Amino acid sequence: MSVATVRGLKIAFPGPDGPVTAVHGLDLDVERGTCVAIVGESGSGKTVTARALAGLLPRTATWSADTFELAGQDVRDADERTWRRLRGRTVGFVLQDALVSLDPLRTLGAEVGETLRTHRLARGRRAVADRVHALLTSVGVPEPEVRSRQHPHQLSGGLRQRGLIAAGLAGDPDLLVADEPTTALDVTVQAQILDLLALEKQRGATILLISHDLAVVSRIADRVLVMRAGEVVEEGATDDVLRRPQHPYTRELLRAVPSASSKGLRLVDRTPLVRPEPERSAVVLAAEHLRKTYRVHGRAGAHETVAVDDVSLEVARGETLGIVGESGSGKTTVARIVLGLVEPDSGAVTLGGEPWTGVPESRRRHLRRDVQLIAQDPLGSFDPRYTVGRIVAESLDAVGVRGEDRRRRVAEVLDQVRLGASFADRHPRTLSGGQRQRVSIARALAPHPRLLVADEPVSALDVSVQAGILDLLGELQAETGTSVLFISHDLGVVHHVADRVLVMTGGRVVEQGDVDDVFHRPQHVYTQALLAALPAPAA
Amino acid sequence: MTAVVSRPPSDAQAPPAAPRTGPGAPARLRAIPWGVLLASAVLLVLLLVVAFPGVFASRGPLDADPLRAFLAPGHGGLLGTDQLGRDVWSRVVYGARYSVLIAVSATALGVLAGVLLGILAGLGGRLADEVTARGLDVVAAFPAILLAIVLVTIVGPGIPTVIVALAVASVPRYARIVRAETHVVRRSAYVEQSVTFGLRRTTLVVRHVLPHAVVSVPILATIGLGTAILAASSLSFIGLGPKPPSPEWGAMLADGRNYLQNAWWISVFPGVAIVLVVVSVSVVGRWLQRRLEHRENA
Repeated sequence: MSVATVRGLKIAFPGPDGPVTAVHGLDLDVERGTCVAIVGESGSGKTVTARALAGLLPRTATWSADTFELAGQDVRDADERTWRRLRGRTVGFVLQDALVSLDPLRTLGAEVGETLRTHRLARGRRAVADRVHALLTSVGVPEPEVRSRQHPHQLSGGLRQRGLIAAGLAGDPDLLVADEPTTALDVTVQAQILDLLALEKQRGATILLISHDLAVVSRIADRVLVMRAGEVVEEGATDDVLRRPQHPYTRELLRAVPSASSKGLRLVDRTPLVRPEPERSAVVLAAEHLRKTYRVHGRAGAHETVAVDDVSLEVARGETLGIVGESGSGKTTVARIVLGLVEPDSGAVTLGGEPWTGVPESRRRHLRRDVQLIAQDPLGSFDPRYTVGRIVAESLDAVGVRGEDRRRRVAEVLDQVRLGASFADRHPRTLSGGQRQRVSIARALAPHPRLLVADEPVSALDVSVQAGILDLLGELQAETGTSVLFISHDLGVVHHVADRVLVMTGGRVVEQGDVDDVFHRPQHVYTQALLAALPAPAA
Repeated sequence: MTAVVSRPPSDAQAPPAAPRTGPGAPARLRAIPWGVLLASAVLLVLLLVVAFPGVFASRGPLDADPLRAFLAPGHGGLLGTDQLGRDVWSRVVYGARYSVLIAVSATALGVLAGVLLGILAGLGGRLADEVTARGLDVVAAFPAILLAIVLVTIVGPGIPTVIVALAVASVPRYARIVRAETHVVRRSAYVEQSVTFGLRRTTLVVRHVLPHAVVSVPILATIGLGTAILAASSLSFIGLGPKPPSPEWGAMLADGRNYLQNAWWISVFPGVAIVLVVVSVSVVGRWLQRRLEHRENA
């Protein structure tokens, strides 16, 4: 029996030049006890579709459908009152972004118990509390009596996401809609959440999963719909779609996912991309026994946390060194030390043989051109008043390249990142995410650095855009012979780009070596756990 | 999807480039509310009056003629004459200079000191920041006019004292906002990024911190001008500003108080001038402020 049946769903939003269609003619069937996934990139219409199923479209949206049934009930003309009755009981909705979707002033228990009270599924404080505890236990929240009295800021990302799922399940809905339930979570936590959703499915829950990540989908979905620009381009059993994709777009998406097998190839078209062998004898950057602690002021008074503990690393000319780790592993602090933004408490960094830490700024300023940053959020790293040309020119300014030379170099690097000199007059706000990251790369490249520090450079990008950026980085590295320190939480990306890799957790390096050795034959239990948590796309 | 070199990649949906509108396009002028246009017109007239009072006034502000005392508006000059037979219209016209001079100087001084203090507090160490911030709190705790009265009483009346007093009272308003903005900007990713380029600290502050920290200052200053005009008139009214027979609006208001029953025009017209100017400045200032907020949210 079908829990949700949709035929010919159209959704449009008002735009400056008339309505913009977000979804045109979507058909969807979700059978009871199955998991259907909608996959697509940003702007594909997957999230509006999910919101339509919970009657949560913004007021400005106009929509129509030939058939729109939830649990056998036609809801095409449902008013807000009807929707309120349906939400929670018929459709449970797990919102995007676990980290901000909980009310910061309410306890987890109050949030989860909301549905129970609204639909009078449990009466009395005691009964509600018991039911909340049972729900939290079922989604794997330890010590539910304690946790249900805590506020969101006292809970980890994983626990918050579990809480949101518990809230979605509280009314025992016919259909659970989960919009990007694992985005922004660490790999190991993501794996736990996916296991939880798989478990709920076994218990009989019906799930509609929205995701941009094919690997996530492959883990629990029975059927997959691939959306692009408001249309379903391919639909079928998960295995079929992932193993034998029919539509060129699906193939492109699958090809764009970086992994061990894509190493040495361009992601966009899988043609060979050869980089010269790193010169192991020429060490560009060497860090020895770095240690950094921060004082944290908590309720129990100030105490010290160790962000980086005895980390040593070396980057050779032309080499890409990957650093992988989850949030709080200390990888970003290492990057900041390498960039000369943070002084280590102890340990030393040398850059091309010259001391880089422990010297006054005036003595190392001339070295700064050699280490350039490519940040995760390019827009935030641009002065909001600047045009692309000025942004790129600034890294040359400090080197003393001015006037006509500077203008020429800006045009040159904009060409190198495949944007073209005409972009110099554009404002970053009018660029797409991928174009912004290209500007950021152009700026980093302009003063001919010896080392690029790329801190999660593709984490905020769609997979096909990410493919373009990773290909570009590879090509530029082949052209210029620069070294790269590549920091990421994404093991597939790191495996694709890195020659060697450091695995960090709790501020320490637990394993390092050649990337193939480490990822194919992990020695440390943490590395093994990370790799096991990786949702492999049915490969 | 094969990337062709030298052509921009079409990754994801780029928002369309912002449409360009020429300066002074008629469509833009029409978007300005009529109240704001009216207020701007008043201020434009005010500026002309300040620049060329001789063109507007028929007589000098101090030209007394006892035979022509207490003439009603229309009978003796446009706005009548006062107890010494001086022309009220001419006095109001010449008086504009005092108000504008005091308000502009006081605001300029206040802005200068406020921005400097705010930047120093925002960039300085924790101690410097705390001391400055608490000091500003103390100054801001007193109503501006009370503070000015105290200062003028200590130093003695006169135009320079009024200017300094009003400037001091307005410092916290500018210093606080600049300090807050500086705190935000100095921690921003783009300032950090500039550090990695090897830019000197002063270059960095001048190029990236200062322009962002002072974005809202011109607008605050516009609104502050109105407040300063009002405060200057109030001080003159209670005799702490320019001395009679100076045609300062507040002083004229005080001067005509005694004749209010039979010669209302002596006080009312300077009062009307104060109201017109203060309201106009505020209307324009608030409108600019709303526009800036709108632009920042967009």
